[in-house]
Amino acid sequence: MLKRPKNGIALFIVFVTMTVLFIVVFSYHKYARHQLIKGHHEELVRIADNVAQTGINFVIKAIHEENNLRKVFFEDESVQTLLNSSSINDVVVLKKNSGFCAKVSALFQNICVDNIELVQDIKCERIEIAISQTAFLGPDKLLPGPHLGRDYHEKQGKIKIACTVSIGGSIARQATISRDFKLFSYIPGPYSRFNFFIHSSSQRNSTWKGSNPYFNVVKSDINGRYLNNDHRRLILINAPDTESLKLADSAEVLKTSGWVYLGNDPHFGKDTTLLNIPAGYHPDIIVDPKDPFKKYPEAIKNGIGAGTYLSRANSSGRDAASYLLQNVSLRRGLIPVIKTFGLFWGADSYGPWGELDYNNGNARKLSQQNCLTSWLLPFGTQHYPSPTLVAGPVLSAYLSTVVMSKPGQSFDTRFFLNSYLTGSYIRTGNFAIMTRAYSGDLNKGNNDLAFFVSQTPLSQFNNCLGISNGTLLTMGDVINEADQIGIKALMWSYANYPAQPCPYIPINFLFEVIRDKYQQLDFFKLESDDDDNLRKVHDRMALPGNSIWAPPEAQPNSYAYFQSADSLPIWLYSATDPSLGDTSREVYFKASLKNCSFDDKDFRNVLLSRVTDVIRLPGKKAPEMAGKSGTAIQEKYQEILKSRKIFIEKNDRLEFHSPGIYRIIVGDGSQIEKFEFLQPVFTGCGGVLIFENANLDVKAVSPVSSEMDGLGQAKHAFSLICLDGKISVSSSHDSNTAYPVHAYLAALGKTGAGSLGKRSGNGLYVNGGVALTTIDDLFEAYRRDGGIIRYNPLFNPNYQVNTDIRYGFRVLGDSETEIKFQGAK
Amino acid sequence: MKKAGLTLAEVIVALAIAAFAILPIFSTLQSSSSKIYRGINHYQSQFLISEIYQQLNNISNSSGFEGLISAGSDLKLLLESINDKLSDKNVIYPRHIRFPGSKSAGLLVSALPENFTYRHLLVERVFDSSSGELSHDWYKVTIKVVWNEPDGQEAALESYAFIGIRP
Repeated sequence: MLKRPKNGIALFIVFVTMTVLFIVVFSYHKYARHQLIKGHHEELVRIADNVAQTGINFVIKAIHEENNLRKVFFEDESVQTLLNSSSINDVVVLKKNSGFCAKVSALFQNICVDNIELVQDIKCERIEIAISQTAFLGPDKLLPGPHLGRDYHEKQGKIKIACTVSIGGSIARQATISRDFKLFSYIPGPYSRFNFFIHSSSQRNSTWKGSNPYFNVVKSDINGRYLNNDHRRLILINAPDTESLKLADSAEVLKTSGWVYLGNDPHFGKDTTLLNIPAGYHPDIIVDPKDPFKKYPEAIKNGIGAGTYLSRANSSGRDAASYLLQNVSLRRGLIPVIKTFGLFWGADSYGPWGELDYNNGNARKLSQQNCLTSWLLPFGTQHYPSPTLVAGPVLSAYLSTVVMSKPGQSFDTRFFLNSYLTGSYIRTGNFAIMTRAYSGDLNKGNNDLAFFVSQTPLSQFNNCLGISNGTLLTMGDVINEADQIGIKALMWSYANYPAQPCPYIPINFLFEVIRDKYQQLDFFKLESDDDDNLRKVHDRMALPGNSIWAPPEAQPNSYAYFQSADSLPIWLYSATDPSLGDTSREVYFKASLKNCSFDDKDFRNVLLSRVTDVIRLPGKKAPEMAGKSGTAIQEKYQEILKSRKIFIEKNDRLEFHSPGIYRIIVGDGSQIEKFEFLQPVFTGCGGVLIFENANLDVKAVSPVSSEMDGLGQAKHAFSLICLDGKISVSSSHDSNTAYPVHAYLAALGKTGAGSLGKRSGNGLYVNGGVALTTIDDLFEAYRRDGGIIRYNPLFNPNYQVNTDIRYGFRVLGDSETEIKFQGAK
Repeated sequence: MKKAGLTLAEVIVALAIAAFAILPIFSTLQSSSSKIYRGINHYQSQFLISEIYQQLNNISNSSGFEGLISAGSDLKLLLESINDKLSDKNVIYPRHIRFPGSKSAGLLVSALPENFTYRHLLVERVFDSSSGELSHDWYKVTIKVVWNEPDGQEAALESYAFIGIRP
């Protein structure tokens, strides 16, 4: 066998080893390097991602808050198609190279993307918007009829927004977002037919602050003069109101004044109906200068019925101003005076006319605080939408309404129907019939309305209505009255019902991208400790049907302000200030029983889903309670609540300083237990206590001094809710009572258990809302002893010192109570 | 050695070659290791940036965001005022940094990892609404994270958020 030479073997082994090592190490190095390069690439990818996400924010802001861009959005061809569509399940894709998408994409590039100097060649490639799964807003999501009170432009669906950002040629990243949206009309349904808005009251100026928005109450007379001592009246005059004409022979003026066309009455198949206003007065109504309303009861008794009449302020009155078209209603509140035509006319709350005293037949004049609002709703309500209301012929006259009020409660609302200039107002266009006033504030950013003024040619509008007489009603425009008192902006809005050609797409729509099922709508955005912001919230809430800023269940029922038959919802509050930027769900809770079906537990579930904490208290049968007396059990309960920091005991009273919603479950549910506050409760903040399986005894609930506002009421609402038991209170009847209840009380049990009763004391003092299934003997005690149940909704625009008592009560059952609350014993 | 057939010279040459060859391997390993460190730092910094970006993004979308900014202040002051806290090295656990004047709004941020020197927000107004084109002012928020590489060199990463608010 040959012996192989071993020369060079070591070198060979070293070489091979080193080679392998080299390969391994360099591969490793290459890998590490590659990863680093990849990491750098990822870094750019992340920047592109972040910018793309920002792009989506930019788009949402553009649609939602930028009036100029919103206008572009609604003018976009695709959006127009969507708004005009009478079908559901539309899919609409906005063109990315034109219209809104192109505009917003270019803006985003200029404003944002171009400012990223560090990354070269970064570019917003495109913004895409697609809308799908569209449906109408009506309950059945189908094309609504007039009875549903929705415009057919009002839609819901899904919107998908995508933003693509590229860096160089190698990176392109797209962010997308998909949200539900609802497209609301500012004024749903019939309200949007004829609207007139005044952006701010004449009473206001830039320094005005306060919690009361003074909604639709006025101070001026028909000539725009400030009134110091007059009752508030809503006057409808189809005649000029200039000074010179006023001084002329008004009888002649009235002859040439116009009429109000109420359309065909669909209910009775009548032909065209005119309401001839000048001729509409009733001879039985003669106004006593000292008490202009004194004769009404008598006239009503004589059979004229509730209605709208033109009366004369004095027997010799011959000028236009002396003719008052006045509302006569049998009860306070608004009633459809010409119901068949859907013409509603009247006053909210107690109205300007005083309340009839049936004992002596006289109308009792109420304090001005009780006379909050006067209304004329020529468009009807959601229940009774009026046929198209047209006024004419205009000639040289116009129709105006003036709501007059005491000082401090401002502004006037008017009809204007023609376009010519008068000495008082510069009118650059023609005006629609007024229906209501809006008290927003253009100068405070609350200016959406101003941008929604239609620019549609008048001729187009008239043609659409089939009006051949060119002198007839035309549409509104912003008027240039910067220096005038009172009216500063008008808005005309017209929406017709399905499938009729619309003269223009009403631009009074706001596109709302809804997040988190209504929880974070703009409504809260304006809320802060700042009074002025708070006022804006009031203002917005003051607009019925203002679905934009409040979820439907939290806003005033859209017609509640108009019809006395519909009580305002009772809201339950955990009025802890919603801390701005803090979106944790327990912070704020508000619910309306009005729109919640408590039967199917929706309300209950909503309530319980917001609970901050659950506290279980042992029932009477629990081992640890064995042998304990009733009082000892209650003391134990209070010990537990104190140990859980819900209450603090101080000076023999229980103080509540833990904002939140607490579910207190008593016992094991086998029987209704009892929970009694052994001491008065003093609230230092808002909150909701929900009691389950227990009857609740309340001695008193009051705010601590720091929680008390100038009126002695709690700054934040405190709610006590019995899910299945009854609530008993011990309060007595006046505000100086030792046991007032400053709380919202709700007993939701479906049987007699869900009731409110009296435990002791005379009368009742509840400063809050009361909602319950049955009244128990409470009302008897109340009737016997008097007292106050005040509805004190913080957001009620009609909120006043003497709060609206009428709305203090809501019975949850089918049967209506005949309670007529009076404010005093 | 003789038995093994290796001469001393061979062994010496082999060792010399091995020693000579292993130097670049060590150097490569060292370089790789430094790249890995850099990679880890990059990863961590990306996390830190994303953490802040997402929160800024959420906050700027939240209703009421504008209410955070007190009168006489602006977004730049608001955000940059928390820079000191963002760079606080003594914090071990994630912490909530409240915006000044706010009860609850702020940023929840992780502790700065080792070798990270600071992070901060640089805010610059890139669009002024006074032009009238838009009603919002737009701000560029640069989120920057800075750390020291193992070789002592300073490295940084940044990303950008844009926030529009009514003036």
